Amino acid sequence: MNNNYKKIEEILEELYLIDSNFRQYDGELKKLIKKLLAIKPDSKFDDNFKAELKIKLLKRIEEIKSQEKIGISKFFDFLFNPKLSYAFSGAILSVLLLIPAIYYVNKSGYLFGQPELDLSPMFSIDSVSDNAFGSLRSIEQVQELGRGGDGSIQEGQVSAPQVMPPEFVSYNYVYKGDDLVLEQDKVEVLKRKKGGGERSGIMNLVNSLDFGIMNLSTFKNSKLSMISFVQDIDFGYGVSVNFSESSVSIHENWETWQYETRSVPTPLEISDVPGDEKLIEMANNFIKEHGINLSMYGDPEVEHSWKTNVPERILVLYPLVINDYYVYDQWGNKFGLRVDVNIRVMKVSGVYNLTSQNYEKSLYEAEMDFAEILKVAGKGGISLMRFPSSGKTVDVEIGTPTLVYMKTWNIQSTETNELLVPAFLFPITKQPEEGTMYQNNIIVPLAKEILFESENHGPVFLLETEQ
Amino acid sequence: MIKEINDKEIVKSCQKGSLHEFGKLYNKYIKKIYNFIYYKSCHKETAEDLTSQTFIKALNSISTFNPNKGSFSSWLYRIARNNVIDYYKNKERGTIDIYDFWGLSSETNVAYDIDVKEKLDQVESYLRKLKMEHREIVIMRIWDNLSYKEISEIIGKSEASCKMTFSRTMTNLRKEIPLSSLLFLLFKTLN
Repeated sequence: MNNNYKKIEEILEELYLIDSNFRQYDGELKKLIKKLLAIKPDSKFDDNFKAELKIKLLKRIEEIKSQEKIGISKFFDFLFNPKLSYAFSGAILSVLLLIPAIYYVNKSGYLFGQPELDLSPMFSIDSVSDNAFGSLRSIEQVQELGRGGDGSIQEGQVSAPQVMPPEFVSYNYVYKGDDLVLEQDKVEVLKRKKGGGERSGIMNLVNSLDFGIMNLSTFKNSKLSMISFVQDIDFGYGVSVNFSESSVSIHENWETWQYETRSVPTPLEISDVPGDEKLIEMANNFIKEHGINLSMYGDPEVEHSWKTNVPERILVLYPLVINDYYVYDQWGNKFGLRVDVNIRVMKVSGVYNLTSQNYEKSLYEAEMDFAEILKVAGKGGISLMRFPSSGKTVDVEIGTPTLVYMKTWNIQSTETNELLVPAFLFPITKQPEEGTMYQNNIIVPLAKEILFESENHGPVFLLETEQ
Repeated sequence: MIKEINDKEIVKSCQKGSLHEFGKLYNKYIKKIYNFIYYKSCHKETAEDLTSQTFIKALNSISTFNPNKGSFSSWLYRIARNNVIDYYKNKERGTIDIYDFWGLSSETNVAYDIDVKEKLDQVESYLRKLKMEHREIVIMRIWDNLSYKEISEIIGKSEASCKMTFSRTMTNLRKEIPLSSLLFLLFKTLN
């Protein structure tokens, strides 16, 4: 309604500039324009159509690229560097040189049959039946500790004795936003499809190799899970291609990253930190140089959560965008492609979370009671690490939520599924005066099953004060 | 939620070989182009087909787009408009003017969504009286929310001419539709 009002005023002002006589008919013209806006047809824009057309366009882009011989082969430009070093020089060299040959599509087609490799940059979503992914609850209570870190705590287990913060402040999140009515009884949960390993092509080649120390072909029905290689140049990189996870990561080849303060780092000052523009420029240049596909990501942002302790590597994040919605982690931080910049030597030191973006979608029961969602938000969302309260509780204000995807892991007995669950992201609109808050948002998933699980908020970490 | 995209820079990247950047332009314009075509055809499947053709043509031709000759946005809308014209050219139409999209929608066997019919009837009661070009400018300004500059680049007329046409059309509509009818129709719409 407000948008229409602004639009009407804008059109009228334009008319008055053309001919000031229109002003005497202001009332009639307002009604006329209002009517014309009111009878605008509903175009029935279909998100499925949008997703399907995007896939067609991405396929067309790949066709164009293969015709121009541009694209995935760039990833393997490293391999043509004559200074690359290998554990089994001759044999591995021939394996690795053949890999780009397999993907380097020429007119005669693939050399070893088409690889079953799902590293395609294309985006796809396939519909499956309702509740197709089974229970959204993990069979064990496992939580990822920290941002980007690895770690797990089993339910009921106690962490090693740690020092409890002397004055730990609990937060109570108070909603100050609009009242919302939820009308959807189902939400679309996405599960990322992974490669499952490479069976033909490269694996056949590996099986046929004779290193002289053992016979690899005796391992029947094998599939290639991962390959990795390194550059043997100053500040060279290592690349790991994970076929099972359909992911690629790039990291420092630490042997070649030698600089004065490597072993004994001196503290960095705020003045050592380059501006955001410079950091983004460096990240963009690296992305461009290695042909990394950014079609699924939004504009890059520099991460500043380190506040005053200047780290050696600063993160430039390219947020993942699916169906025009940003993806967040369980702590309300944007999730996406990570590019680390080493600010001592002013070089990109790593790229992580580069994965295929092929999904299945399945409908799950949604929470329709906004009050239930606010209950979880009031406690800080579903991933709050709770400490025994010191007795001090401080109110933190949160505002009207926006709709996003929350990335979560669903751990089953034989596999771990990556899920994107529609969620409400509540912005923290007023930071507390006491305590140090590192969060900017509270995120609450809208799938009822996950919300129900979170009522108990996962494991509580028991801490003991050192004697 | 997503920062404003600089079309020029994206097009430059595409022309230098980073074709996957086209995805950003797609995300920005897909709904606008679909709506633009839908308001001319009033048929979902037709609008989807023509929208697909528009983006595929744009992708195939991005290397030939010259930013000095106008904005990417106007270029894309022109492709869409031409696709609609070509589509109706290929249909049997008798003596109907192929440029009169609204005429075709209602007078031939061209399908349009049944639930749009009621609104079409209302729309026809005044927009139909207008010349096609005048109608098109009104729809592009009010429904598509395009600026006069964009409209001028799309239909190939000067900006001043587009403004004049719009203002004269509004004058005619105001005169032809009595205030009482407007109030009645507005009341009917709200209920």
